[in-house]
Amino acid sequence: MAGTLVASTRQVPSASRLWLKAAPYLFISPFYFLFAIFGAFPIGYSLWISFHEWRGLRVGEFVGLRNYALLLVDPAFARAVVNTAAIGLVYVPAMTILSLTFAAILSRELRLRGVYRTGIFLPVVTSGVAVGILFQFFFASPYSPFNAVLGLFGLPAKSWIGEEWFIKPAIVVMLLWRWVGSNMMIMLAGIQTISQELYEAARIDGASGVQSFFFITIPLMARVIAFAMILSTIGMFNLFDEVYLVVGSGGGPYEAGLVTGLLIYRTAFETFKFGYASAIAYAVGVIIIALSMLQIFFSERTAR
Amino acid sequence: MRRLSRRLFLAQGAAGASALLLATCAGQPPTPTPAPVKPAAPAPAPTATPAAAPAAKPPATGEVTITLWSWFNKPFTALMPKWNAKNPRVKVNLVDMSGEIHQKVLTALTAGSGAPDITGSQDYNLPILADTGGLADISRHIAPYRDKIVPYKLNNGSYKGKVYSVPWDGSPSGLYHRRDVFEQYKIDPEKIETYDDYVAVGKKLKDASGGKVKLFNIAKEAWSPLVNLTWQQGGGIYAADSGKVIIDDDRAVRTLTLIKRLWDEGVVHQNIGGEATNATYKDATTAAPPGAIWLANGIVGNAPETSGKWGVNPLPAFEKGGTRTTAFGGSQLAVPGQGKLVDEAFSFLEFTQLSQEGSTIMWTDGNLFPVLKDAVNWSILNEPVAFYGGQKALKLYAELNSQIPPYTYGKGFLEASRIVGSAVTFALDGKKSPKEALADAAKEIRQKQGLD
Repeated sequence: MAGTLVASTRQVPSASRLWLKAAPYLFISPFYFLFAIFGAFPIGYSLWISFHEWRGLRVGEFVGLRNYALLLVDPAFARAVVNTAAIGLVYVPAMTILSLTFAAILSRELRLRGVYRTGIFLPVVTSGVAVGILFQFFFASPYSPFNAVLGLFGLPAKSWIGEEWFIKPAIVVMLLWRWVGSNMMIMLAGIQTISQELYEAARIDGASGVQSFFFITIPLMARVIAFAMILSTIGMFNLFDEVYLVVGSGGGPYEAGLVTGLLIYRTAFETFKFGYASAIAYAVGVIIIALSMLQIFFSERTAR
Repeated sequence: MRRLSRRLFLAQGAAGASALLLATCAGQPPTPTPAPVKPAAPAPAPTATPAAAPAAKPPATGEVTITLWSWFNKPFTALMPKWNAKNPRVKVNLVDMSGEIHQKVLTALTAGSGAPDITGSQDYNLPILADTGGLADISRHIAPYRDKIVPYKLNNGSYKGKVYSVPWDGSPSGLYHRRDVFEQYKIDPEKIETYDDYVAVGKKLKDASGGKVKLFNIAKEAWSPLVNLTWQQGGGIYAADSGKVIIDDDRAVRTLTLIKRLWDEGVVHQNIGGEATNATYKDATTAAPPGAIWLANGIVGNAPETSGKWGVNPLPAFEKGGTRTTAFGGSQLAVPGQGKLVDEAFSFLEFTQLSQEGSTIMWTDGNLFPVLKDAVNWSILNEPVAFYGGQKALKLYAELNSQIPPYTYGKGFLEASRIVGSAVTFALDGKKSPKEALADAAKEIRQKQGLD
């Protein structure tokens, strides 16, 4: 057999051998080519920009870590991080619970299951801009359904976006509506990997539906849940479209809605401080990585 | 080693194609990459185009084409036949830029190429464009017209002493009122001479209508009408001459105090939003909004059935005998110097904006108010206007146009206006007094923009 192999190798021309080795890389190269230009280059270049002062619309002088030092004492940066964290602290658990619940319910054999899943998923494929405009109208216009319902309880019809305390809950609600479908899909995928035998065994032992949910589903889903939570956390710090349309670049009354994405946008495109904005973006990136690692650590512990 | 079978080749190809498709599939919610800011075009240091010296260039012979970018080309199209008859050598290519014109022009000016010969620009963006150094200095071209253009428009087209654009779209402002509502509640608009009178009218309307009818809507987090009514007094965010921050001076404090008074007395709609404000034009619960001449367009668009029921008077003054108008909005036609067709570009703008013939078509076909002082004498502006119930409103606007005190937007307006808007919210919520709120705002602007 070995002899035959050696003989056939010698017979294959070297050009074809080269093609065999190279073919896989050539197939994936278009993606990497595009990624290099539109993904990797901006990431690297903006790191470089963050070490420079920005003059007008061009790179200026090298200032080392000064931009980063500045953002440590910048009240707007602190406010943005606190705001984003505050929203995240409510949103991430709420989203996880909500999407897990929907997934658990819709993983069973219900009659109109497909309809429910589609309906819950539709907001995900809507444009972020459309969602922002919709919710801006919903919360601000005295003629919106929201104010109509409030009117039934005797509350005044007015622009609730003008109230500082309202902004963060409004953002949480908007995001829950928008993304629950996609997180539900992730959870569904996770649930479907759990073998039915486990549930049957539990039922034989007398476990109720709720008990099997807490003792089978959740531990086995720990990694999937962590994955969804990390995505949600990252999304929090990247949040821009919807919030911008609801509260504008000012972040709403007393900057209650100023999230990090909004701050980066306005630093770059309103004050033209691209160097500083890049520094903010990288600092936010560091925060995201730290939070993600924390979440992975805890999920690994739960999975065990 | 096996030779690559056709099946394997096809399978690999399909896998590669679908991987590419998935990779480009946008809209994946929260992407795991950190969000570094994509910089505007990584441009090599552009050669700043110096102001083209007008007389030094020998006149070009043969046909030339100049490009014009704006978000409103309709009136230019209307007067193209007249222009081509007058000046067949210079052809104008109109490009509709209803989208992000400002960003596109800004990028082109910084990159040093790609800018048109003429570009529309909002008044508040002109300083930013001029600051790039990419606009042509047309001070010499416009010199013969200096005394003919209404002062504030000429000022808005200037930056650091040089003129960079020909003004477009005058925005004289007055106090609109609903004739039917005023008649119903027996209010005489001619008697509203000062803002004290205005507040009194508001109270009367509120009491008589059971709280339904208000004067207009005041928004939170908004720099308008605070800044506009401060311009009425000759103030603003920045001083017109020195560029210093003056939004904490007496004039601004007086304006914010007035706005707060209107809010506290309950005589204005409180931050109901644009959509709802339009509805109040329909149901007559906005009785006397201050506004520019183009507010009429908005009202006609949203509540056409109210046309004929409006009237307009000069704005109330802050004190008897003071200025009774200001400006809201407005735009310019700037001349980037890249194509070097500055003379030709100016001659087109000269015809369209600085001649009676051109300005008339701008008005009749585009509702763009003339920027010439002389317009007050033109017969076309001396006729009754149906929207205002037959009032010769245009003549009033033309008179007011010349009275608007020049003001400065400034290069840092985007950021400063946001800070000022926050100050308004503080004041309206009662968290700071108007004086405090503006003092803090001025301090923040000075610190962030390195001014004093």
